Amino acid sequence: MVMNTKSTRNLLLITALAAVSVLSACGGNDQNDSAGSTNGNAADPAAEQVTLRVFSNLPDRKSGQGLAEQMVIDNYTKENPNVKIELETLAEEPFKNKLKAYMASNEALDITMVHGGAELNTLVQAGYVKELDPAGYEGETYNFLPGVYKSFTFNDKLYGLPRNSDYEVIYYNQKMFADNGVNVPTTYAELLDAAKQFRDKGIEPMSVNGKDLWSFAAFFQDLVIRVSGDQSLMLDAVEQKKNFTTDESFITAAKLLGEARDAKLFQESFMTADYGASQNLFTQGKAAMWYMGSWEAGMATNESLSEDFRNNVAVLKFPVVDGGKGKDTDLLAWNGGGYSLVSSSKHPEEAKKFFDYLMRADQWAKTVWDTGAAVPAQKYELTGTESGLQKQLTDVLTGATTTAGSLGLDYGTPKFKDDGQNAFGKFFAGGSTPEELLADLQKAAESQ
Amino acid sequence: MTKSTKTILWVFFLFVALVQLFPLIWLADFSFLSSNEFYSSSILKWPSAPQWQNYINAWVDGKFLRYFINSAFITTVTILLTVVLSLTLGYAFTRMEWKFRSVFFTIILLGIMIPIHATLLPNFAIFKALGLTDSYLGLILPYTAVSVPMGTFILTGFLRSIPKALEESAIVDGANIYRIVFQIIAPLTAPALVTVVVTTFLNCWNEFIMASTFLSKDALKTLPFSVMNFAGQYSSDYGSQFAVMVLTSIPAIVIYAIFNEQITKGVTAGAVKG
Amino acid sequence: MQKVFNNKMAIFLFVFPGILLFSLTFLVPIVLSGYYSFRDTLAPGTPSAFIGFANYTELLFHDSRFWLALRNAVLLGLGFIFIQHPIAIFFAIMLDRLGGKAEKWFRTIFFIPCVISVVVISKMWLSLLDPTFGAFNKLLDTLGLGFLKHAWLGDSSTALVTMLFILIWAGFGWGLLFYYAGLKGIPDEMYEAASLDGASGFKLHLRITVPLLSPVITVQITLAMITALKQMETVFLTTNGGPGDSTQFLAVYLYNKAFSASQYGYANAISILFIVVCLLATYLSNKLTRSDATEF
Repeated sequence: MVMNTKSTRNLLLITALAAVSVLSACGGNDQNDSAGSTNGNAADPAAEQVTLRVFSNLPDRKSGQGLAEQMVIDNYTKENPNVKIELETLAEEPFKNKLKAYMASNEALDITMVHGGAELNTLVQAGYVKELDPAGYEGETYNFLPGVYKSFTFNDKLYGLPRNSDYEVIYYNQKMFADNGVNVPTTYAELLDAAKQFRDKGIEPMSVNGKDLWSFAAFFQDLVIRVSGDQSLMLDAVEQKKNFTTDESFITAAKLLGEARDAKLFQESFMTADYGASQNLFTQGKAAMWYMGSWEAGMATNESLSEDFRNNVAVLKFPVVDGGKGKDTDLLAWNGGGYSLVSSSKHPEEAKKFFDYLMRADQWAKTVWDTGAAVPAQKYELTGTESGLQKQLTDVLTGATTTAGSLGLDYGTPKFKDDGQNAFGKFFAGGSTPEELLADLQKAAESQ
Repeated sequence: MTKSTKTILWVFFLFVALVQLFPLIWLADFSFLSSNEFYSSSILKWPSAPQWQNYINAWVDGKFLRYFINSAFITTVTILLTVVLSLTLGYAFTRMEWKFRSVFFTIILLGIMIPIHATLLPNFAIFKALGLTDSYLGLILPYTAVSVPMGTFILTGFLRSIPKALEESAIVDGANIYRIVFQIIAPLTAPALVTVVVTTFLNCWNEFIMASTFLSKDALKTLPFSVMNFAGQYSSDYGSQFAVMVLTSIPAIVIYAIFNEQITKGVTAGAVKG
Repeated sequence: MQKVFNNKMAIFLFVFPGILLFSLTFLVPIVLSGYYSFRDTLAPGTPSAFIGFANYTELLFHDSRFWLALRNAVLLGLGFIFIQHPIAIFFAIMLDRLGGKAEKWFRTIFFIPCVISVVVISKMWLSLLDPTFGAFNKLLDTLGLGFLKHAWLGDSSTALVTMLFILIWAGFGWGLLFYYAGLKGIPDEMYEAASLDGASGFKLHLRITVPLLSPVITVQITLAMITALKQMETVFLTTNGGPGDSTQFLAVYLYNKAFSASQYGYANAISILFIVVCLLATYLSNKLTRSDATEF
C-alpha cells in the first residue's frame, strides 16, 4: 500500500480545494461539455457487435448513484449502438463476496466496481484487475482532483479510478431537532446530551449500520482525529508505527466511544441493522441522525422519500471533543469506491473505451453531481440547481483543513479489516471494555 | 379420551397453530402497507389503502415469473435425476452383488454429513473449469449431488424391507435387470420415492448459497435469489420487500397443500419400514 | 439368477453416474481444500506459500472464534435435542390422540414453516424482531410485558437463544412429522397390554411410546446434531455471526474468512476440520444413542 506523509496529504488537499473553489466560483455558466466532440465512432455501422460485462454494487437503478451509473451506460450505448452492456448488480455485502468468487475463478468480466484499499489490494495480488496509466487520465477530459488515486495505487502502480470523494458526516433531521427542542450539537458532549434528550422522548437518536461493522471503525477514527488532531495517527497504528494500547489519544477516544455506547446513542436495533435498515430508520423520520458517508447526497432529491423529510435533511460535521486537539474541519475523507478494468476481459479494447468514457468528467462526475447522488472525485461545476444538502456537503469538503486519505480499516490487509471489525462488534455487543477494544485492535494490527 | 380433554386439546392446538402462523400472517398483512405505515404502533394493521403497487413492483422488478420458471425447471430436473440415481444406487447397494459395495455405500452416505459450505469454494472452481457455471446444469448437478446421499439412504432402508420373491419370479419369467428396477421395483418403492421427491423439492426450491455463488446471469437466477436482489433494489421500500417474500412463498405452500397427504404417507411408510 | 444380480454392466451403469457426480461435488473439492489448507494464500490465483500445519495449529490452539463457533453449534444441537424434539414428540402423541379431521388440519398447519424459503424466513424474523417496527416487541407491549422489550438478535446475551427459537419455529414441523409417522407404526395392542398392567397417561407413554420410538429418536438426534453443526443460511442472513461472535457458526466463519478476510488457506483448514467434526459427531451420536445394533 502506498504511503503519503501527513504533510503531502494536506498539500494535496489544499490544491484540491483550490480547484473546487475556483470552479464553484464560475457558477453554472460554463456549460460546454465536450460530449459532442469526442463520440468518434458513434456512427460506424460496420463496428463489430460486442457485449461488455459490467459488475456493480448499485442495485437500485432508479435513484442515487445507481441512476447516475445507468444514465452513463445509456449514454454510451446510444452513442455506440454496436455495444451492449450486460450489467450485474448486487447489494454491497453480497457484491463483495461475489467479486471474490469471480476473482478466484478469473471470471471474464470487463469492468467491475471496486473498493479501494484492502479489497482492491487483494484483486491486484490475484492479478484480476488491470494496471492503468495515470498519464492517460490527466487533463481536462477527466479533471481528477489531486491525491485521489491513493487507495487505488499499489507499489506505485494505478489499478482503478475513484468515482467519489467520500467523507463521513452526520446527516440529521432539522425538524426533529426543532420539534423536540434539541440543540444541534457542536461538541461530543452535546451530541451525547442530545442523544439523552431524544431517548427520553422515545426517539432513536442516531441510526447506524451496525451489522456491517465498518461504520463503528469510522466513528472511532473520527474520535481519534478529534482527540489527537492527527489524521495519520490511526493509519500509523495500523502500520504498527504507533501502538493502540499505549497512545493516550487512543485511550481517550476508546473511552469516548464507550460513552456513546452507554448513552445509547445508536438505535436499539443497531447491531442487526444493515445499510438499508439503518437508512430507512432515518429517512422514515424514526431516527434524528444517521452516521454515514457523503455518497448519500441523493436522499434530498429521492422522490420516493417524503417531502417533509427531503426538506429537512441536513448535514452536520462530526463534533469536536472537549480538550481535544482536533478541529471540526479535520475531515475523515478518502476515496473508497471506484471502477477497474478486469484483466481477463474478452474485449479489452472495447472495455477500455467504455471505461474511459465512464470516467470522463462530463459523464460520471457530471451525472452524479447533477442528479445529486454523490460528491465526485473529479472537478465539478456547480449548476445552481443543487439541493441544499449538496451545497452543505460541498461546504464540508471545501471547508476541510486536513483529510485522512484512508479509512483505518482499509489501510491494512483484509485480515486486519476482518479482525478489526470483529473487535468493534465485540465492543458494541456489550462485551468488552475500551481497554480490551484497543488490545484487540493492537492484536489485529500485529497479526495481519 | 373424554370430550372435555378433547376440547382442551383442541383449543391448545388452535392457539399453537395461531402462534405458528402469526409471522406469516403478519408478513402478508404488512406487504399491503406503505413503508411509512410500518412504524405505527399496532401489531396488525388494516391497510388504509392496500398498496397493490408493492405487488406490482415485486412482480415486475422482482422478475417473479422469470425466476419462478427457472426455479421450477431446475427443481424438476434435479428431482428426476435424484430419483433415478437414488433408485439405481439403492438397488445396486442392496440387491446387486459386487466387490466394493459396502465401501461405496459408506462413501455415498458420508455425503449426508459433509457440509456443502465446506466444499463450496473449490466446487465453484471445479464447475468453472468444466464450464458449468452460469448454466442450468451448474445448479442442477450440485443440487442432485447433495440430494442423492439422503435419497440413497432412504431407498436402501426401504428396499431392504421388500422381499426378494417378486424379483426372483420376474427373473424366472426372463425379465432383465433394467426392467426389474424400473418396472417392478420402482412402483413398489413409491412411498419412499415420494419422501425423496419432497425433501429434494424443498432443498432445491429454497436453496440460496450455491445459487448466489454459482449463477451470475440474471436470466438463470432462482426465486430465493430474487428476494435478496430485490431487497437491494428496494432497500428503502419495506412494503415491496414483504410483497416479494409473500409471492415467493406462495408456490411452495400451494405445492405442499396439494401433496400434503402423500408426504405424510411417504414419511410414514419410510419411517416404519426404514 | 446370480447372473442377473452380478451383471457387471448394470452395476456400472447404476453406480457410476452417482459416484462421478459425488466425486465432483464432494471428493475432489475436499482434496483441493486439503491442498489449500497447508498454504498461505489470499485466494486461488494469488501467490501462495506452503506453510505446513501452521493454519491448523493456529486454529486449534490460538483461535478462540473457532472454538466459539463449535461451542455454539453444540449448544444449538443440545437445544434441538432437549427442547425441539421433546416438544415434537409431545405434539405427535397429542395429535395422534386427537384423531379425526382436526389431526390432519393441525398437522398441515404445523408443517407450513418448513416449506418457506430460508431467505424469507431470515428476512421475516429479522423484521419481526426489529425493535422499531417489528411485531414481537409490540406484542410484548400489548401483553403488559413491555419490560422484556429487547433487540433480541442484536444483543449478544440473547442472540443465540433467539436463533434457536427461529430455527425451532422453522424446523419443528419435520420433527413432528417423523415422530408422528413413527407413532403410526406402533400397534395398538401394545397400549392395550400396558393399560391392563395399570399404566396410564404420561406413564403409559414414557413406558411404551418413547422406547418404541427409539429408532426414530436415534436417527432424529443424529440429524439434529448434524443440522446444528451445518447451520449456515439463517445465521448468515440474519446476524452474520454477530453481534460479537455470539451466533458464530463454523460454516459462517469459514465463509467470512474465505470471502471477507481473504484468508483462503486458513478458511480451507476450517473446511477440513469442519468435515472432521461433522463425521466425528455423527459417529459419536450413533455410538451414544444406539444400544442395540439396528442399522443406520
